[in-house]
Amino acid sequence: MTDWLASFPLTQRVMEMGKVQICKSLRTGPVPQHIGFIMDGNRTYAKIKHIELKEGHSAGFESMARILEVCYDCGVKCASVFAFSIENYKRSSYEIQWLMELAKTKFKQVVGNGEICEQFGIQIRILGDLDLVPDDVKQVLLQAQEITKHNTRAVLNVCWSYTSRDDMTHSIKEILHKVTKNQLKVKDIDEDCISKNLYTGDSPPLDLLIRTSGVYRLSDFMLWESSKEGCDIEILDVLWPQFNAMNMVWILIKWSFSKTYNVKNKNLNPKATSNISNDNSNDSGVKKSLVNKL
Amino acid sequence: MGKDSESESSAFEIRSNENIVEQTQARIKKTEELQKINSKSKSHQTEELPVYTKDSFLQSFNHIVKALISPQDEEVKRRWFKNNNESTSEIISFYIYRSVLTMFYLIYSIYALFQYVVNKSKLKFLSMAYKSNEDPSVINSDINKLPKIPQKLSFILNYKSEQEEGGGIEGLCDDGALIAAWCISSGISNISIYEVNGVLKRSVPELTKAIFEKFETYFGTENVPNFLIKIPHLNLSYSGVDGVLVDNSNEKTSNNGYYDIEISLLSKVDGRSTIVELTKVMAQLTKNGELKRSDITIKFLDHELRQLVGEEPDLIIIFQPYLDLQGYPPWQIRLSEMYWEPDNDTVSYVVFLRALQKYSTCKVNIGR
Repeated sequence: MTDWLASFPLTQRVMEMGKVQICKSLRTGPVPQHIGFIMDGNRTYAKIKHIELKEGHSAGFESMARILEVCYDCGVKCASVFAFSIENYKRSSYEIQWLMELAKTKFKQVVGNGEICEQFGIQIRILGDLDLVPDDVKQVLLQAQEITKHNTRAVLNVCWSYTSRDDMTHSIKEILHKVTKNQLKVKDIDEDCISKNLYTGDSPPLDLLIRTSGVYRLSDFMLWESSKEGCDIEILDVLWPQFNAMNMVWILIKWSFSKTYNVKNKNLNPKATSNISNDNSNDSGVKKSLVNKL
Repeated sequence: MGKDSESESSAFEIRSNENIVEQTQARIKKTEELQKINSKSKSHQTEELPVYTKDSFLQSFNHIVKALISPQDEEVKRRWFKNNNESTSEIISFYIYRSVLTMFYLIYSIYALFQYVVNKSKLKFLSMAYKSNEDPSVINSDINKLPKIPQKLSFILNYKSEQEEGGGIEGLCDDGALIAAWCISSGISNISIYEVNGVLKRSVPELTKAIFEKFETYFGTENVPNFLIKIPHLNLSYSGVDGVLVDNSNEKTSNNGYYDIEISLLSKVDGRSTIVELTKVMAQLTKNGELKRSDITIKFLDHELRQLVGEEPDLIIIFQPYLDLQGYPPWQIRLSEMYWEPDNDTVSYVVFLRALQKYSTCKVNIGR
């Protein structure tokens, strides 16, 4: 029935219009500034639909494009997608090769015509340990990052050969490097300092993390960012390729709803919030960041 | 020859490891003391803890209407009105879209209310079906049906206000004791309890009292299980042996007694702040040339943080209606399964059992 309806050219247009209007209305409320996605379920999807593994991954990519469009339309400043984990190098070489190939072709498209990014003004950043990536893929990834670096509307963080523990280790190493170079004093090291030196350091703090396919784990993605108080984690039972714009809008409404009255809640209980800052009164850095937030 | 040097270097590594852990612990203690002095110097206000609260639906409805009339969120304003000159047409369209959003909120809140009723009644029904009866053998037979159980279990508890039922420090300690009793009955001997503000850490005497009482009702006065309470970030431990509390905070090594359960108490300071302190110590060491930057690997940090905070739990059970980790130690949640029951905010046996049931069906395949 829905397929039949969708076959009309007019319905498509109406749907498109409706989506834009909904996104516009969402913009009038609070919107998460940074969303993380764990795109799980591409392979299960391929198995269920009896299609090849690589087609499953392609479907996942298309789904990602759809979701990101909704997010950016709603005013999300930054989205991070978990594309390839360091642990994924354990998969069969055939699949790794295919994933690398997929990344190469998709990023080549970006580099080639820059259409998608031009239209949305998206800046692509590659996060992760690129030393582990084959040279040809690495080159394309870096090229895409270079070409889009002047776009300012929104940011897409592609986590490629990324794990959060690796990220934290990297951040600590960076800090130690700065300390030995005398750019940073030991007593100035604080939470903000570690956050700033993470791969996601330039992005706004993570507000929402979405994981699909009903797995209740973080799987080494954005541990530092998501364990913070106030970061919501949504876990959905749908597979990533089946995750559509409607689901995304629903989640955004839910988030916005909870923020609309949580903010009020804080204002109603000034004592509670002031106590939180008292707790950290010995640490000037933490206090400063809290004051900024409040 | 080669082997010798290898073992030597690893021995050196271990020694330096312990050094780092000790220094970090010393640092944490120092900041803790500073904090205490600070809080003492402040006037003797009755300390009010940030309380875990929830809104009634009527209240939240009220907030929505208020938010519609005055959406004075700077962020939203900046997003909507690109320049500061707010033309009338822009303002009108803003309010039109805003009312559409409010309609969505209303639809959502009706849906949420419906969900709330469904979830609550489901939980009520289930708690009638599954009862612990305060009897270890009932719990044991429930758990024995499961193909696998977690070795290391972690819980997130919330401090509720004293006016509420089961609130206050007493309620919190009672919840902790209840959990300990369930875990012993199901054969889990290593648990950690996380409470953001460290209320539980500050009320060890109350907690031990609650645990003794709980254990007596569960296992009888004759055979009260031995337990060990650890506070990793202060490097303290208290043990209850044969129903008597032993303070071994001053002893370097614990007596080689056998404990039925080890409970470590965690709070916000075990999370990001511990990593910060560790980084400070390592920074000092690298500056003095005692530690190379290349020594710092994931494995190395993992080793340090294991000693400072504890092992990575297999399962985290969260007794609150939504998933928010509240600053839980970030290094430790890599592959932990998380379980919470929507619209539940009490510590009940059904949630515990359902979490273990869910865990037993999960399979972890790293990366594959």
